[in-house]
Amino acid sequence: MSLNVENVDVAYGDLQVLWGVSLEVKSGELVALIGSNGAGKTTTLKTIMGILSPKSGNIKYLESDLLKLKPYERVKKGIAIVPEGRRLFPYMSVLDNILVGAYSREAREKLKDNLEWVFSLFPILKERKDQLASTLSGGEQQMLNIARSLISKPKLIMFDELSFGLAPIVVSKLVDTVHRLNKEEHMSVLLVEQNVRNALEIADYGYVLENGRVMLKGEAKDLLASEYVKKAFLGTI
Amino acid sequence: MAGVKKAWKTAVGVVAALFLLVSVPFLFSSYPFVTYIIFLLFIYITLAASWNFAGGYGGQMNLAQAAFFGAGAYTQALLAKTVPPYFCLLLGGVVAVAISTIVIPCFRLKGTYFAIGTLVLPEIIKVIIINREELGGAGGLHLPVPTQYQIASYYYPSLILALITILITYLLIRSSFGYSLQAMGDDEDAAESIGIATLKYKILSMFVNAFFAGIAGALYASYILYVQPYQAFDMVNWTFYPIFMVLLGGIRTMKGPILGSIIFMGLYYVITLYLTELSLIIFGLLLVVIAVFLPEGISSKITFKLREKKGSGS
Amino acid sequence: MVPKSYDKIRAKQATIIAVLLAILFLTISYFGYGWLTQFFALGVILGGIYAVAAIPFAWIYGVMRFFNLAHGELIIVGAYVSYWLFVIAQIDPFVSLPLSFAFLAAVGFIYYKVIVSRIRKVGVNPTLVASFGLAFALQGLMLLICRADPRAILTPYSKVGISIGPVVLPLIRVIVLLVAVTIMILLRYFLMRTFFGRACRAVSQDWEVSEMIGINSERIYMLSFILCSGLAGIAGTLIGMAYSFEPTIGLRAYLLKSIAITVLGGVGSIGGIIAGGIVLGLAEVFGALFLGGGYRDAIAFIILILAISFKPTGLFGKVAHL
Repeated sequence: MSLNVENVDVAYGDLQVLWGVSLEVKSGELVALIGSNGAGKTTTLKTIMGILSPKSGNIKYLESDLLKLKPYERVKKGIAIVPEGRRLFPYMSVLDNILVGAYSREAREKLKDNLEWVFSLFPILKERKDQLASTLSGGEQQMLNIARSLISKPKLIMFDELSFGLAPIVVSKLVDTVHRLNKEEHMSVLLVEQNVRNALEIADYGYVLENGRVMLKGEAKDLLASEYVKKAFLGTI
Repeated sequence: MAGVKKAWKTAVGVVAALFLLVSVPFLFSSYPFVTYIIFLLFIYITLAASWNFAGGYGGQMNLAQAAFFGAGAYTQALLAKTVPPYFCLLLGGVVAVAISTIVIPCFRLKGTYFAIGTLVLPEIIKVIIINREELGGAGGLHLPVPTQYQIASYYYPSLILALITILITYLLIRSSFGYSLQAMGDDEDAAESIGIATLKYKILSMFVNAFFAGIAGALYASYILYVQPYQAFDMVNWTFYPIFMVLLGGIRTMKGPILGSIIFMGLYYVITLYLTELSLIIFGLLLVVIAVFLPEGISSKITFKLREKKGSGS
Repeated sequence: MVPKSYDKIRAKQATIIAVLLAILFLTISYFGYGWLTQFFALGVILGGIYAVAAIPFAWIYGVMRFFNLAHGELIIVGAYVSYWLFVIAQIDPFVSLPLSFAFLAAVGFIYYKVIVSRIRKVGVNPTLVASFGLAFALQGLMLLICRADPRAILTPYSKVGISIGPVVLPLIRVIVLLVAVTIMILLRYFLMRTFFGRACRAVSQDWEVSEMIGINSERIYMLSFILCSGLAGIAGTLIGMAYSFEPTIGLRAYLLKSIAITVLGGVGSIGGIIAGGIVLGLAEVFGALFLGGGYRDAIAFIILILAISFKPTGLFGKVAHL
């Protein structure tokens, strides 16, 4: 279950933001994508998801070309994204938010089991299932955000800014959950995360993005020890 | 060198067009209806261009224009006996501006909200007029028939009015006023945050709109010699048609209102004259076709062509 | 993202209630109790039908931010479909409801494929011009084929009256109201409890994220459009049964009133639209009583203005959502 991003250039109109970005997420791997603000991490994820289209380059998943697929078709293939900023549907209940993530036929068939599983991961969501999504706390909203993307039991899940704006206690629980998803459910994970230490500690492999280019890549433990990473993310490490 | 040549070409073109327009009443002296149509065209160009100023450049979807037009028309009707003709026109514009102040409370509303709020003004004035006999009531007012009544004497004022409206809006757009106005039209919140007093620009641009629309109304009334509430404040004719002309031609451009008016009126009259039964259908379908295939408006297609030519030349 | 200013909402509700009570008092003192309930009933019926007419407009705007100026015309086409089916084939209008739905759904499909899907992304202006043009074209078509005189679908039972308490009402209007209410209840269920309904709500609240979690928003737009066009047809049939209609009334009356109700009730909630419809219906009936029939359409305007002045969260809510 390999995701291959090959030499992708992405631009917003005339403004180019990604230059020749290549990365790979092997089956069952947890890959961290780190970089400072504006480095292009969200853009990368959006391009993989299909919201943005690259000017050049290729994106393959399981050897099949993703680029001609629309976002919802990519979801059907088993790729999911947990959007940044916890963009929930504010006027829908917690339960509805989760259910709407299971829109595809395949997901609907397994809905009952998947729902139980999701609630077992985040019991607080079960408690609050009839509340409006906008009434949840920050941490709960992020859990809902993740639950919504998990309900389709994706094979590859991408997290965009997992811990943004959340308290450390909540963050460590979420990071734990991501680790479990990877190790116990064997989901491939592409993790975009501000907190570099958290990300690299659970990751197998990592890419460092800077100004739209891949600056560094390697085994997570090597990156953690590298001078570049230490210097660049001083304070976050 | 190329720039000078181009300037000459445009100047020659403009002069030729003006010459043509000026001679219309003579060319069509046996078909006064044609002159009337072009007279009406200039009225619409005035309405379209003045709306485009506040609505296109300023981003204010103001739907009260029928009120401005009607106010001007009624001013003309009420004062035609006592006030010299051209002065009457100006007063029409002034009264329209005065009326437009009623809209000011609506400015705190945003977007489509504001649009619907402004929609009410023509209705309110209409209702007031219907119920006051001294303003003519539902039956309307007749204007005194001048001793010399021919379309030509109204044609030239309408031509001049259209030219002046275009000229003044052009100058205003090019000035610092227009700069701020467009900034507001682009993004009101951003404009506010850099210190532009958006309320001032909203009000002033509406005054410009009202002024020219009012004069247009007064001029129209002085030709038709009759004002009546449903006709003078008819939203479809005096608000929506000009707006659609602007949308057709290209909002936020100087050419847009002109092109749009020509095309809209051309289509409308050609169709209604020759295909009366099917006219609404064809007219509607044409609007659809234009919207689908030229969503940016007609003038965008033309500017694109010109830009291409320039590129390939140099 | 929580709806702000509950105080303002309370204030608005209080004012509306106060106004309604005042009207209540005036009517009782002037006409007496029996008249009041009579007018009240007529107003509620009118309002219920206005609400059914407004829902498709609100739904389309909510899901795809498309301001369908041809909405009124679609309704009237529905009325004519049922009318002609009745006159030519003696098909009872209640039976022709699904036929009206089907026909308008097909029209809506074509409308969507040919026009809407192409200009949707460009912006507001082309949608206004295009839907306006379509409105014109449809109106012209109806004038051509059906002529301008007002019509109504008059079945053998149309003239029957029914007394409920102190009130005498045309039976057909009561039944039409019941049908309308049933439809609205079904729609609410549909919107809240089915996957399609949830998807519609999701798309209306955040279409980008909806795409990201696997919803084919293009498909939702199309299906919503087809559904709502069909609903417009049903509304038209109901109107044809309960009231009279003619080609020019679409743009003038029903479009404007749908807009007014949507503003009043909010795009999102069907309950809100029902409430808005009833407010408008009552206002028209009582307004006509006190001010005279000529002001009927103007009342929608006035409602609109009042709604705008009191609504704390902008025209269709801060987020025009379903």
